[in-house]
Amino acid sequence: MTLSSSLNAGVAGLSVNSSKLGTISDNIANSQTNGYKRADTQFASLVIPGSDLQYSAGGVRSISFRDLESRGSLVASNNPSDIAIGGRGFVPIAPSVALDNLDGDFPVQFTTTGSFRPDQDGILRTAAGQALLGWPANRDGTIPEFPRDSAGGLEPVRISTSDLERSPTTEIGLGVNLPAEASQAGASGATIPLAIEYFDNVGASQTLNLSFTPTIPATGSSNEWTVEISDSQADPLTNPVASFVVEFDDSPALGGSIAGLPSQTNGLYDPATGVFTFNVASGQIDIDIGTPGNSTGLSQLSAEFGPTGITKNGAPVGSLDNFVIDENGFVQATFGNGFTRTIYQIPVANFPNNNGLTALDGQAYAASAESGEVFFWDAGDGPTGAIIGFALEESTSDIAAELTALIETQRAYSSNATVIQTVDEMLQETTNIKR
Amino acid sequence: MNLSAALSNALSGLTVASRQADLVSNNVANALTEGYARRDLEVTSASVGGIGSGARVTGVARAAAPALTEARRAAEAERGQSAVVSDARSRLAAAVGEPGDPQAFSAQADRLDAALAAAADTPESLALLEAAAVAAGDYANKINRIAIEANTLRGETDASIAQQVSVLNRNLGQIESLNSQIRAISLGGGDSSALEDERQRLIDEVSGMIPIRVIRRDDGEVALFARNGAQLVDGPAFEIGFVATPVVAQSQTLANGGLSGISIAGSPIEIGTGQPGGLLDGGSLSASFELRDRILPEFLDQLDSVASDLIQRVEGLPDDPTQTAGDPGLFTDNGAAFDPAAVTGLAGRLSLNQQVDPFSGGDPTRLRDGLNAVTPGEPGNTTILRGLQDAMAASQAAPAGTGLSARFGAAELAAEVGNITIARSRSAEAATGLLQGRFDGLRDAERSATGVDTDQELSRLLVVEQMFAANARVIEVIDTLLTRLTQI
Repeated sequence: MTLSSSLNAGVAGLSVNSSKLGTISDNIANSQTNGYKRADTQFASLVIPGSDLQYSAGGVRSISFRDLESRGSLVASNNPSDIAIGGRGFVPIAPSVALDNLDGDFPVQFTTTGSFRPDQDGILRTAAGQALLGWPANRDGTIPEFPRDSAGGLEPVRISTSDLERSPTTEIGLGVNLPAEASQAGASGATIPLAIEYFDNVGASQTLNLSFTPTIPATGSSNEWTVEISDSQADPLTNPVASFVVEFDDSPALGGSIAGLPSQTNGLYDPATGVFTFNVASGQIDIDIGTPGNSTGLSQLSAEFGPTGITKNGAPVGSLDNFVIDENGFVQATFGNGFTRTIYQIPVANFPNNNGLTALDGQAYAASAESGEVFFWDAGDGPTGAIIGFALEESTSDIAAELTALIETQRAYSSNATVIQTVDEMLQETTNIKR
Repeated sequence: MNLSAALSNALSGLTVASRQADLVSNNVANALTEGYARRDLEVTSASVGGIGSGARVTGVARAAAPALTEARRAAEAERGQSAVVSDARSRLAAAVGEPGDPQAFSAQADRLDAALAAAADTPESLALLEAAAVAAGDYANKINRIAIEANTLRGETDASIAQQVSVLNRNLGQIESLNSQIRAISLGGGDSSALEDERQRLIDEVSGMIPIRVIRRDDGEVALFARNGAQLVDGPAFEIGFVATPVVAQSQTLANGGLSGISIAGSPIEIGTGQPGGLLDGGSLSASFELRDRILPEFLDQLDSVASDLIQRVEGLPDDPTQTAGDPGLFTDNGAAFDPAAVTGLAGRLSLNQQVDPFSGGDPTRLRDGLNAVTPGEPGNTTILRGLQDAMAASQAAPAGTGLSARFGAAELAAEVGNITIARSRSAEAATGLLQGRFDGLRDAERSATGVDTDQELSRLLVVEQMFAANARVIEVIDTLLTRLTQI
């Protein structure tokens, strides 16, 4: 009889509205949870085939799902490893219980945002214990090729502040002015010394001692200087390790600049680039003395000796001070000697069907059959968004919408309750037909 | 929901306003601190993922006027160089004595001439003879005292060089360590302004002694070079070497190895030679070397020449029958006759012949009777006295060490040397005064460009107050909106 179907429909209505209330309450409870994606309940009607003369109510059923395509707004923070994705995609993480596995395997989960901080081992973890995963870089800062369709090669990102890094000197720029009066007849011919500090392969500080000796002619000026380079870490008997004779121009157009190098010993000068290459005990050093005709590098003008334009690369040994995660997902570590190096890359995962991911605790999602195969992109490439450091993604639940849905659900619930009450009274009437 | 983004924007505004207030209070507290440069806050608008999200502090800027600072340092070095020389010359002028001072060098020479003339006029007067002997003794003592003062000055200069070098080495070492501290802080994103103030103070101390050029390197480091090219700090600090000589005798010079020169990182450097191009020249350090190695030896040579001229005038007088060849005359080289090979230091050894000096057992009547006379002679004998007087007044060519080319008598030579000393001292003082004035002007200009103006800071504080209140009001309104939502 149709009354019982109405009762069933009313009961079904009560249960779907209580399920909707569940999703509303979950959304409101998680309205401040960073990275939370709001859950939604949609209703579908059930139809019982019947005839035109009698209608049987089928009722309603509910389907709950989590809307993983929505993106929350971004809020700034001052922690460099608070990351969010400015677009589509997920970063890989590993749950805390899995990292203690003795065999080294761990399941890979995904999240869209997280506030990571180094723990006692230096591994970046959220407050819930999930560890950030990334591809480790080589010693020189490049990332080797890793398979992009599987999670092999990912390992927890470790920031170890006791790491030491060295950077040897390979290039020196020599911007020195030699006084023009010193190469004229009658000058004293005294040697001008210059000491340049450089760093060898183990980060120790060594010294290159350069000496500039002018050639004194009988009359006029020779514009010729002999430069000898001595290395402090070489055997004193082998010093100077390299030397060259440089001649300067005194024509009206190019006066003061290099004219050429009449002779070189133990080193090679390339006039096209202006670089004099020679070897010290720790390797090759390129000294940029300037191309002929240019005013940078060595010059001979009528001013005092000025070794003010000396530049060099390389740095002493420094420990890891600081790190940032840039928008391409590279974790750049800054060392105390001013040197920066990439230590990890965080790839961004993309799935064909985001809504098919299985939701887990802690705003984490796992791949499933409905979500499709994972593919790891570089951040910002393809369909994925860039990784934004110093930012967190807020919850996508909108309190205003949830509260209005709450009002509707309450009304619907009371209406369904009224239906049940009415059916009950009607059944009572039916049983009162026969006293 | 977007209201929370508005809330965090307002919060960032509050943070910026409170940092601004912190900086203003720091500036006002340090308004009178010497060497403090005004701090300003650098603020930029922040955006996250392309959407604006409030304001952000990017750093603290320290006010700097690099051109004024460099000009002020150059003026300071020049003033230091001139002050060292003018102080020494005015001490020499004080030792010689101003004209009008009865103890002056030239006044004593005139008194000796007058006493000899009076004794020659009245040779039988014992009192006048004694007065003449005393005047001669005083004159010799005056020359001694001037020489002692010059030698003392030379010893003090050597000690002051040692002290300047130790201050330089200490400051350069501290600048090196401050460099690495400032680099570490600026790489970590912190505020290194206080350390930069300290480093500027150390560089200012160095620039008074050696004129310097400051080159900025990466990450807040600086390299220091002397203006003429010597390396002082470039990464590591270079050690300046100098060995102090505790007692400086006139015979010790740099050339003969008796005194120490200066070296940087072990290689010796020429300094204070007066030639252009010395790598450390231009400040008080090179002026001290110039004083020790050129100016004071020149002055001592002048004095020695005056003393040798004096001795030679009165030695071997033909009118004195008691003297034989090789005997010392009225003035002696510490009791001995004049030795042309021993002119150096003669001014300190010049003394009155003991036979005549009443204070060491001599008899002033020997002035009239002959220096080696055994018995008193005729009281009316004026021959020797007139001979002495003529020898003293004879116009002879000035000796080579004085640098003069005309012909002078003994008193005239003394007056001329005294006047030269005083004139040089006066011109050195005038030059120092000019340079001091220029330095003061540049220092005041630099202070007004980089110092704290409390009026400006307090007006900034008013703006900060309003900004803070406005951001707090925004937070209040957002709170009201959220409350309204829950009352649906």
